[in-house]
Amino acid sequence: MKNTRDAKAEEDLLERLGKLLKCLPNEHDKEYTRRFQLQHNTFFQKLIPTSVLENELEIVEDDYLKSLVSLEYLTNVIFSERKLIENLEKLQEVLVKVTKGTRRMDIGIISAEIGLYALDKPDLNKTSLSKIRERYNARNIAPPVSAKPAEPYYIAIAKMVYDLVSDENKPELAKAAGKNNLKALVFTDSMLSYIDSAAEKKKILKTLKDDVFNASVYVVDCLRKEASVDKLKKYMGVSDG
Amino acid sequence: MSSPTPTPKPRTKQVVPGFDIFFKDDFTIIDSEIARRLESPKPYIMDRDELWIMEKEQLYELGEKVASPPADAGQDYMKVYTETYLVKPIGNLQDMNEKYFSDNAAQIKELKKKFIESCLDMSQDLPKQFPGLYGQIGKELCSKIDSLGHDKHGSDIAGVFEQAGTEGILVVDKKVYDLVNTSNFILKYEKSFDPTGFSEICSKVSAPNPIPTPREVASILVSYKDHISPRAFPLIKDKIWCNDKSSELRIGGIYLIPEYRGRLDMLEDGYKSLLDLRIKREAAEEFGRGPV
Repeated sequence: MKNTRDAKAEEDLLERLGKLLKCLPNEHDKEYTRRFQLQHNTFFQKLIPTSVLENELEIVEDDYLKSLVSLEYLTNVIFSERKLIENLEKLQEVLVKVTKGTRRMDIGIISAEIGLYALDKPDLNKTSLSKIRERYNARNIAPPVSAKPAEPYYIAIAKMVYDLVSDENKPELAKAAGKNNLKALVFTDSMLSYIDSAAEKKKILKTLKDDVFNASVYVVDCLRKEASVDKLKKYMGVSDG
Repeated sequence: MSSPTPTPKPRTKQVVPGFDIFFKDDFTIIDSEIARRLESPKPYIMDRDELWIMEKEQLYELGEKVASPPADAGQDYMKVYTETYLVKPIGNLQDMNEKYFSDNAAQIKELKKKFIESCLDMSQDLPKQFPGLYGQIGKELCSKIDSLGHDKHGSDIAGVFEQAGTEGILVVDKKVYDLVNTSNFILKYEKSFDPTGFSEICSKVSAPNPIPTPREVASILVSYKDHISPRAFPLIKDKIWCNDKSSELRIGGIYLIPEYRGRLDMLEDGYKSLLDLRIKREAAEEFGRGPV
């Protein structure tokens, strides 16, 4: 049970996030009416472009929103190409085949594929990093100072984002001034459980407190360093036989 | 070579009952001007930035946050994701229209004047010479304005917003969602059910006392899963209730499901044209009463 101070801190944070989300220009105006409810559509319109939403992936429910945020951040900010999603779609076909449809895509499998995908990418060196940083800053939209306080509906949408981040890193949400800060945080936090090295994890957490962008880039680097087909198979629940 | 001088048209006499006579082409009502949009102020509700709901002309917004959906069926609420808010009334459409007219009185007065000037092509002195003409022109204007209204939504402003088979609308981010009660929502998917299952589901879902919650409707659907097309089943159920993070809206004891209709702009046009119609009608009536 939360104490009063924690509850107040959460309330303030949600109010701040709600204001940020409300102010964001929509990524698109499309309504996905067949299965999704009102709240999902608002979440999608504010944070996920259709290029990422419209994929063939069947992701487990608990990982669905954080996977979408992570894939959006990777394809539009870090790698600036959609190929990672296409690779995951092909991987899903394999997953369905080898598990006879019993397993669906989850964030573990996605993390392993990110690592393998990053192996084929040039190092995130100074030149490419500055370009990534440019993309990051260009779309890191923040609310104007004059923005009105968040309305209840957007506080609830903010709660959807809040719940995507682990308790350990929730305080970092308070530092998120813009859209990409949020996405980088959700991505970094989602991947942490899939970094094997405790030392690297510690380093990521330390970096996260100073600069969420650097932490997100470092996460990609760690996933790449630890990438292997065996790791992917492990997450897919597939043995060599 | 100069053009031939046109032959003057024969002039038609018009009689103003009980008064004098004058020539009909001394004044003209310009029909195209009657239909022209007024540069009237934007209706308040269209400018509203926060989520709002309209049910039977009553307007609502989200109010106080509460821990969970109230047990009292008379208490209106909306749950968005895990957050539950009481739904509170903020007035009704007619009151809002009256406020619109009183707050913008000076601008509307000016619009009325311009409207009359633009609709009538005649000498300023004519009605002064024939005082009965005010009433006659006013009457003709009213009848033309009324026929304009009947081409669109009649005079039913609420009809602009609410569609048949729905309970009202919800507007967020300038988008309109029709509010459909759970029974009507299921009715829309009749073809996805087998007839026995459908009639049994309908009777259970539309039980009046107490009206089943979305979660209960979802569990009714689950218990009849074999009677529903496998493809349609998750689409119907998940829109009503998916899990503890599903949204819920209850107004007047009825659970409502938001169904996307379109952008608010499309309603704004209809709503504004009815407000314009009222401005025009009042302008015509005031003209008909003659100079004050």
